[in-house]
Amino acid sequence: MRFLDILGLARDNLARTKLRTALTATGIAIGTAAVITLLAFGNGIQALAVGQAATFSAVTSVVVGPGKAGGGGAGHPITPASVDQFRGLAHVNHTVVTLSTPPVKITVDGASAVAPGAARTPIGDSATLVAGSGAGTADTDGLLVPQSMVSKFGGSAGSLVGKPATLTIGAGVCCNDPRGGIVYAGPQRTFPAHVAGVYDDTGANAPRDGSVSNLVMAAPLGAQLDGTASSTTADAYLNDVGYESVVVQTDDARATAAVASSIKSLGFQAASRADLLARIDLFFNIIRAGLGMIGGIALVVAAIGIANTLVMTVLERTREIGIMKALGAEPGAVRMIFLVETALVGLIGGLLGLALSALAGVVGNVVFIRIVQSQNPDFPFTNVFVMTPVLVAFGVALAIVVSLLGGALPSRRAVRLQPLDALRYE
Amino acid sequence: MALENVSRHYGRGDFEVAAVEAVNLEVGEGEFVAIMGPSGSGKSTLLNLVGALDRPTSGRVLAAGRDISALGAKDAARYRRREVGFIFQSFNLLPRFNVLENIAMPLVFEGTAPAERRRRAEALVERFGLTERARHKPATLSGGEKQRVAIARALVNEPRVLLADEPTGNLDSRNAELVIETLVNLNHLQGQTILLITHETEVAEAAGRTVRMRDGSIVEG
Repeated sequence: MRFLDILGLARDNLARTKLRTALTATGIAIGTAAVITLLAFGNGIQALAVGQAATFSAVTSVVVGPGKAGGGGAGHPITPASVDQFRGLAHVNHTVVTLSTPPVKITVDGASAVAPGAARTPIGDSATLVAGSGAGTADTDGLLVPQSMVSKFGGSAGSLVGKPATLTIGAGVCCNDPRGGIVYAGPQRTFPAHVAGVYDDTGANAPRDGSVSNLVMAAPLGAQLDGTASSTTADAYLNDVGYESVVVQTDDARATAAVASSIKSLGFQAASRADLLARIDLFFNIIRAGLGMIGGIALVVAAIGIANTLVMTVLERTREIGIMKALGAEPGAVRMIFLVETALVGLIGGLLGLALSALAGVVGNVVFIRIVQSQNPDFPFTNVFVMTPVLVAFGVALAIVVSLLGGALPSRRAVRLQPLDALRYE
Repeated sequence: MALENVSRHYGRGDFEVAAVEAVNLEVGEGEFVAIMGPSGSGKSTLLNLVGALDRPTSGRVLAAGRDISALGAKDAARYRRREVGFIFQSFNLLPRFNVLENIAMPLVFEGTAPAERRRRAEALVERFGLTERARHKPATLSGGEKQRVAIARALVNEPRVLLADEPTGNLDSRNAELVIETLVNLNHLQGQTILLITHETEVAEAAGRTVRMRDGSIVEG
């Protein structure tokens, strides 16, 4: 039997029982709409949550450390050339290099203070400035002074900004570094610098372990200090020992994991919290599956409706099926006629359900944004019901599959009817 | 076509009934055979066995060069579609389809192209004087017209054998004569093999050979 003839027969059968077809399809439509609307809602809140999470710097940054020494070697230092390599990776838009330095004495206008030293470029990164601006932090000899140190120089934080300063390291500067870092007890050496800003080290920004706040200097200056402490030059120090760590920022949270693994393959240690995003994603996938199952209950009810309708239809058409079989319709053809019929009902129901779901989504999105913006007028317009092409295709496919499942048993009855019994049926 | 020691029993154990018991029958090509007998003598069962609508409990039914009693549901359907034309007492037309569509129905199951189906159905419509009725549904036809449609449908696949189960049973005498005349013509002019059940002697006289059945067995012919 030709498929077009099967399709024609199925269509005629449905057209003959319009009300019944409409009611059965409505059941499927409601079931499909329930599943798709809930899944679209799941999509929306997932995108919302992941989108929010993706803006956290934790999920966009990779912390890179020197490669581990293998077989007694010197390890794999993070040299300025390595940093250039990181910058060349796709989706990397920003790097922060850090060094630790020996304890330093800072002298401004004749007054001085001692602090552990740290170097960072850009110097202002992840600091909360109370004086000075980001502009000065780009200088190669800039300093960020902790707010707790300002009193030692007299005057205010603001008056300190822009002033020349002198850094001193060497014997007599300080006994020991509380962090147990680089110690330099050689002859005293001084380095010219200037105060670029004052950073907040009070309250929530205070050092966590109660230690003394660092004097933060630009990385080139820090390299000079470290080079001197190692009896070499700044360049040689960076090429042999390298930066202590580099924070590599990506422009897309979803690219973070790939950037981290690229850096690892270059021979460095790289840690990221990109898995956080994956976990949030997983969490919402589970929620979505739960929502889909709740909607699925309606669809199961609809499938039972289809089965019920089709049992009646087979009963009504028993004699017709008998005649068709007597005239030579093969069991497969009879099965196809019924299955195509149910698939058509599923298709109609599925499309109807998608239309319902789309309508519910549009209304839902407007209501949602009204409610949210009434609490927070700055909240950007966001869809919480998100229909994707995949979801649309899934909805139609689901409606058809569920209909076919509902139609499977009744079709079997039609297929198994003995032509003689069916012909005798009144 | 031959039936070899064919039996068909219904039910089981103490309730077992032999509708047909150890029947041997041979029908040559081009023969017109009338099967007569009282109700319950097994005539219809015999016809259904030949038409592969039923399977014998034992024995072989040889038709179209093979044992059709062993065919599966799919092959039996194909055999009915290609080798057999059925004419029923109650016509068994499909009420939803018009005359042309009813006649072409076996070709639909065969997978024949629509244009060819139409050509063959229209030729039969004309031959049986149904041109005016071609687009009518069976419910609007008279008994005689219905049976002519049924005969046309039975012929559309050019079957090896026509099986007619009391085709005149629901017709008035004038229409009954017409149907018998049609069958006789088919047999004489085209050599169509026909197996016909009847309990009217006049109808049986039109056939070349009469087989009489009683209690599931052939008693004459």
